[in-house]
Amino acid sequence: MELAEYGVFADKCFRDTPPPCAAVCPLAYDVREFIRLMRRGSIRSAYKIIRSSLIFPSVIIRACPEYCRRTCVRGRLAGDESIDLKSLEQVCVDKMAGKDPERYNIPQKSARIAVIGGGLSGLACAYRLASYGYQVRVFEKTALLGGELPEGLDRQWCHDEITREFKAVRCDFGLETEIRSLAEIEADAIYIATGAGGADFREDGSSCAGIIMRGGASTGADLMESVQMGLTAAADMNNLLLTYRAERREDITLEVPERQADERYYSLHYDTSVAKEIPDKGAPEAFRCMRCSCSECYDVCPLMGKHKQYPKKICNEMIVTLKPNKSRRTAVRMIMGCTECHMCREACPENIDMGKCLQEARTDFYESGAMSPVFHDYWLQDMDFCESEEARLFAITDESRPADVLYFPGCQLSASMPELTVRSYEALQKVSENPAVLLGCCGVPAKWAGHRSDHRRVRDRIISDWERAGRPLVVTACPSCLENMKDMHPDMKVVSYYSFAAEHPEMAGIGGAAGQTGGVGHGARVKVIDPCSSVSEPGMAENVRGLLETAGYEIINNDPDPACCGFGGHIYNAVPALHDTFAERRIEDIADTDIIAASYCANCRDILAYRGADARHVLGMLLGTEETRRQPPELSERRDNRRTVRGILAHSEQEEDSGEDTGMEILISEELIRRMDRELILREQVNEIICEAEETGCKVYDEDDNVFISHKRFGAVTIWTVYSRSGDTVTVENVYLHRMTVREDA
Amino acid sequence: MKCCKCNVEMIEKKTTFEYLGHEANYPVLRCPVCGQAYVPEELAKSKIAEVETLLEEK
Repeated sequence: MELAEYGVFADKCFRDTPPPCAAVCPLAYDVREFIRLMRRGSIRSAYKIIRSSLIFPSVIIRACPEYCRRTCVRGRLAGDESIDLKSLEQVCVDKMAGKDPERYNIPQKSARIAVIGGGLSGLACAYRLASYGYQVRVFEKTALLGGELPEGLDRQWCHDEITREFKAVRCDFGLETEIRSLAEIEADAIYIATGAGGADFREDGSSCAGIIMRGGASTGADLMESVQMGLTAAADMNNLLLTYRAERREDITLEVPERQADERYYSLHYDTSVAKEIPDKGAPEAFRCMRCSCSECYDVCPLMGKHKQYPKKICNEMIVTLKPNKSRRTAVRMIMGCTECHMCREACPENIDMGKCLQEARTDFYESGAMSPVFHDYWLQDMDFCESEEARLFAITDESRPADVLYFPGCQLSASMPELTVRSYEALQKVSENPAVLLGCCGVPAKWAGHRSDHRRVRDRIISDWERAGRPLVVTACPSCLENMKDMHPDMKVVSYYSFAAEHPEMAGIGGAAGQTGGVGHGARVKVIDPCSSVSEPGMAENVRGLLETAGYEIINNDPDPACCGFGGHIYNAVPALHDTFAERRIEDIADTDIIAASYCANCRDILAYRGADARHVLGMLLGTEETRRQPPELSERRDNRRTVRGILAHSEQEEDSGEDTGMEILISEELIRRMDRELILREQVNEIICEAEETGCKVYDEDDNVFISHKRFGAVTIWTVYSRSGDTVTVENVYLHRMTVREDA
Repeated sequence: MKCCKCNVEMIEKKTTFEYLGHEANYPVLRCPVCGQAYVPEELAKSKIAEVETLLEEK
């Protein structure tokens, strides 16, 4: 993706746009920040925020017709009431009452501004321009400032308040001075805000040099809109004067801009709870305000939470990090930390898919040559193993005719559950006329690593086999494979095993499988763990539930709730802590309970089981073969399992031990194996290091601990083993690795 | 610590480590004859791991 495309990728994101209350207010300010400060009791800071927009807060608040109340999200919730923002502002203003505004030393500008009309519109314009350093004079025909004010407001009090606010700036007032013609005024710019029915000086406007702006109530604006116009006039005049040319003449009548609440805010999910303990200094109403903002993606994504960033900021980070020749790439962990679960897209009201954005970034990062190969090295090697002759298999029952179904169990299913892989194929064979099977990898590790060419290579091989099989329907037991394969070829139809089984009840019958009411489930309580990739096929989650119910399980969560277990994207090597966060979130309500966590993704099952949940694979539950709290196999076993499945389905004898006979027995404790698994170190790698060291003598002897130490480079890592030897028995004491290479020249 | 291949005591020597086109030097035990190195776990898990993380973001 081009860098410029990252810049617009999340354009539709409305995070940080004004919430409905602010969107309809002519004098909107950063209401979220105001509320945050009011909650904390930081009154002075909160006051600064409202004053920058309201100019004369004490007067404006009293005159405010409360547009915000009509659009408050809280007010639209059943049985709830709009936030009383006006009273909150009043609390803030009351606490600052009587305090003179802060003065700043602003260099004076030479341009002269005249404001005709001492109402709130003209005064707002005058105040703002005076604060910029212009020489401002206000002409008011009456003796009091403030103009037409709502009933009940004391004009003298308002005049005094406004005068007090003007202490902060230099501004001249011509009270009881009525202007009859613009020719009476010498100014570079004039703002005409004479109020409803006031003179507009149109007849002599053309004879006046410089800038003329008209605004306020005479244009049909209400009081707050008039104030807004005054501020707009000030901003526009400032811009024009900064770029002013002597011959330039402007005669502008301001218009009231349209204001509309963004309807998307009303369909977001909000936390409506109110803080139980409100700090002494905090204002209670501030705790009722939900500070409405879209955080739908943020709430489902631990990655965004970790980096405290939203789509637009993430896109900016991508640009900064992917720029060529960067000395510091701040977003590397973010790029490498996306599990590509696409839950952000599912949650986003605009369906912005940050997973796609980060996938593109990962590919671009890899292709730039700056990505460490270690992040995905293990998984790419694992993919290569799946694609090797040891594990890959393509077989058609009757090769003389086209297959009707091609079973693609997925490489992680056969790695984790070899028997189940075989049994599930047997069930499928019952309903297929001429089934075919393809053991191998779908190529998603290459996609997740950003290796486009490797992904294409694996994809082309699958397509080639599928065509050789006569373009049959592809049935996969792995939702991740399904997600990856569904767009592989326009004519390739891929369905999940579960949807296929739901349509073929006759698949039931082996080991008390689906279709036998009251069958293998015996009413056991089950929480279905929907993998993130389950969204890739509409109805998959429902079909899984249907199959489990038919098999006699009691489902406690009928609504699909897809989420990521942390396996996706192979983020583990780059951000292990984030991987753990994903996993922990997935099991938080089922760990240490007797509820069965029924997963139809082998990766979710293994990750959940590793963390103590009674996680079982749905296929095993349907077939009645899944054990309680079965721990995932160790990494080397996973490869052996794939070899086993290949051997069974190819009807070939499987060699018991694929390694060479070294004449040594190498012992590794379970605890060390568990640590090696965490570091993605294979038992066979450790064996290889020790065998080589023993054969070549290239090892170090530590007399103190009576152990040998040897090492070897495997791909992107150097693995070290510490071991002792007694006769032909070798005991591995420790294994560790680092990513750097050591220069060992003599 | 002894190099089993050369049967000599290993001595501490400044050694170059490479990663992602960058180099860093640490004193580690080396065989004075063949150059074989020994990187203890503490070094791999502390200084080396820290520098690896930094270089991955360069």
